[in-house]
Amino acid sequence: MIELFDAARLTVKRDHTLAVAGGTLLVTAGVMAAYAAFLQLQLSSTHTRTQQLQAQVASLDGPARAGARPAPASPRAALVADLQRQADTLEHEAAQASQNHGPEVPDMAPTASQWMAHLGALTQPDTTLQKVDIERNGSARLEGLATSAQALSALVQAWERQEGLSHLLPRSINIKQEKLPAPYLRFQLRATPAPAPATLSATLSAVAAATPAAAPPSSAADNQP
Amino acid sequence: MQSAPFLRVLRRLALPRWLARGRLGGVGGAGADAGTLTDDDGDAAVVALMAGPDCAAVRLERRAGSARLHLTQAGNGGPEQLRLWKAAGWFDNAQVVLVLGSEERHFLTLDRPELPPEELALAARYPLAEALETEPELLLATATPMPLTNDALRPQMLAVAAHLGPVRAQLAQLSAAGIRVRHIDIADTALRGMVMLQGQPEEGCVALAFVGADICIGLIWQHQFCALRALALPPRTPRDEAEFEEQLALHIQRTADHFERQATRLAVRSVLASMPSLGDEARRTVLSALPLPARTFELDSALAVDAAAGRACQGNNNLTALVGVAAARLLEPLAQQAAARAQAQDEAAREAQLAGGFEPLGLTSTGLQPTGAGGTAGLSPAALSQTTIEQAAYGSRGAGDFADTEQGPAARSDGADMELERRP
Repeated sequence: MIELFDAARLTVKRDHTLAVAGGTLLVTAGVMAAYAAFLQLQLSSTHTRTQQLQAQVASLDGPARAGARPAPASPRAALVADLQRQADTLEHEAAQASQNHGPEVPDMAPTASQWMAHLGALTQPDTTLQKVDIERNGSARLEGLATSAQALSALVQAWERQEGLSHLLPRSINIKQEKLPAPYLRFQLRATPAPAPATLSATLSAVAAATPAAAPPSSAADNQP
Repeated sequence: MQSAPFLRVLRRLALPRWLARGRLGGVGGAGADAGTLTDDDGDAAVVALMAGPDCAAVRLERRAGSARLHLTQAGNGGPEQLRLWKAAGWFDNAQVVLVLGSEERHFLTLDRPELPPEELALAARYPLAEALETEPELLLATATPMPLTNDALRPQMLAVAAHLGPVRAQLAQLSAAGIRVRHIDIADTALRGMVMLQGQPEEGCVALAFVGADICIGLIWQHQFCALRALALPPRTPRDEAEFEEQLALHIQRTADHFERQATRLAVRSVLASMPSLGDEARRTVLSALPLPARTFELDSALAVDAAAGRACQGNNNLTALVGVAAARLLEPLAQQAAARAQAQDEAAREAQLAGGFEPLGLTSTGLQPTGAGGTAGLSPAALSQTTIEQAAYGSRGAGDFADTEQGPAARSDGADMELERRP
């Protein structure tokens, strides 16, 4: 039988390379566009969440400042706010510890938030609190700077006037003249919950009266009850 | 046929028709007698068509339960007819074969190399390209082995080629009409189809057919081409009918004599002619002038012909040739059987010859033709096996496949001694 049909020469050879390449390009472009849209959605959602968080932070700053024009917080206020947040955290941890292990702190001892409130009230223009240590037995140790002995005396008197700190009596105070251009007194105040006669303020007043404002104290007064 | 129930199951399962009929069963199956159709052979249809400015198509069907092929459709016309035929269902469930006319095909007879049949086409491509002075890549080429008809000749093959461009144009034309073609044949195959329809593959038969304005003459044996030639028909005018008929008969006679003289292994006993465009009187005149018993190929006697198709084929060379091509496609299993049987007989004869240790008595493999030394007397094997590329010079479109032992290639190229004019 004579068969002249030759499929290799007579059938049309369709080259699909270009179509495949075009399809691949389209698919790639589509995937990239979808990924870009996904990223855009994520960006917008993140932006929205950021705004919400900023609004929450603004609301946490205080109802008083909500309607007012937001002003830059002073370092002292920021420090106090930070201390308050840490106090809240500590209070929360203390509450959990009290639930787990029972109360170890005397009932009369103020909580951390109360401490912060007290310290905020104790803050004077001429004194700066640098360190506050609250021990488990309720005693407190304060470190800071004061511009003068009078300012330090005013701090101690304010401490004694605080109603929440009435059970903590200042037991000792160390005063040291800092070698700074301005006259600064570094003090360490220690108060314990045990009742004690309020002799510390008198001692400080005496020290303040005996020591001139400009002259650095030559020695630290330590009054142990 | 034992495989018939299996085939029926396949058909019920709606497997592809080609699987059910073309590969697994067909005309003249394992249990069928050669040359006859059996009731178990399934339905099949072949549409053979010619494309180009003048289109022609025939539809030939093999129907289960019928011993004859059925010519159901036939027509010719312009290219616009293709769509009409397509719409009319001519190509439904049929193997469509594009048939190349004598203008589009070229053939040569070459010595067959010792290669498997499937590699013959590749081996023939380069000689064909060289003979046609073109590039091998621009050709459609195939080759089919030819039966050995002369012991002095080496095995030969018929190499067929067609230029790629015209075939592509025809396929594009058919594709535009919605016709899908996956088979291409040449119009000369009609000779095989005609002989197949007549049966008797053991005898050599000279078949000739008018195809368009050409005459194709071939020697068919075992349903295979043993020789093939083609020549343009002479124009009718200004010659008179008597001269035309005389020259035509002379050409056929010489060619038949040539075939008969060269074929020493078979008996050439008849001529089968298809000359639809000739009148009855002229046909009788031409056939009566031949030395061999001649008969005319008649569609009505060879096929079951529908009336409209028969009227269309009447007097039409191309349509009659297309019927032969379609018949060859449908009856191809017969050819394969005949070839296998002939090969087995050859092997048996060769074994008998080796076992006997005597000189061959000249009996052919079929035992029909005594072949004495006279068949090749005075001829050298080299002269008999000359490469027939030289024979392409025989005609502008044809090639003989037998060495001209009387006049040599130089005289053979002078085909004009037959006074048949060749068209440019």
